Amino acid sequence: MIWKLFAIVILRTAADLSFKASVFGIRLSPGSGLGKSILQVLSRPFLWIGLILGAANVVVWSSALQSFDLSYAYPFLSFSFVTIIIGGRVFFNETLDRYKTLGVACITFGSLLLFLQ
Amino acid sequence: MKVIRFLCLVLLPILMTTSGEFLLKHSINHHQKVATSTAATVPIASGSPLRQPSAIFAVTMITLGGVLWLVAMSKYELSFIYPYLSINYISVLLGSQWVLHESVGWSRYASVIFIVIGLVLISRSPHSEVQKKGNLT
Repeated sequence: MIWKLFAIVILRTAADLSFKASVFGIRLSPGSGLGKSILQVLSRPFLWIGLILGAANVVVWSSALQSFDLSYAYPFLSFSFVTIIIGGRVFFNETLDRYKTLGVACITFGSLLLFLQ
Repeated sequence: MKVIRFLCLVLLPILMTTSGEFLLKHSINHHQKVATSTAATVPIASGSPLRQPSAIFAVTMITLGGVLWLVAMSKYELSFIYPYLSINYISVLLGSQWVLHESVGWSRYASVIFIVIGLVLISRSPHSEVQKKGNLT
């Protein structure tokens, strides 16, 4: 059943990267072009892929809660911060500085601690 | 106005997601005794604990809390609001112990302490704002 927790981390990461892709390169300014920008976002397939992945995430999470304590499963989800930051670096060329690297290391270590009991 | 905006955009989503998680877990725990094995594994099957009104309400709260949080991320600097996510982790742990009566050992507390340190470190990154430019969130 532990695969469900890994599946959620992957689904969350994929959903967030899809949302980022759906607004990537679009400037959302509160001026006259806002309606146009919103239509542009709505027409991007990545928005809809993100929404489907988000819905799948909710379903798998609910079913994971049937097998795990909340105090075990919930902190484990923080591992998605790690995968999302790596995804941001790989797909959107975001900067990975030492604060993020250290933060990612801390969260990884924290998630691994959950397996000790 | 500033205080009201902070309460509505930062603290309200935190309250909604954490109480939603408690309610969801509570309704699943309550139902499991009568659930069949198919209903327990297929979340949308009839007789599944997720079909209870309380579970549907909980999922709605979690989702709306997530949407509000996205709005907050567009209004505040990430370095300011990111550390508030720590409240989620700490309150979920305390609530699991006191409300749901889970046995929370030292490793879970240690884990959450490292997650909180990690979140604060990420929020200190001078590059957290750059990611936000031209982005809905």
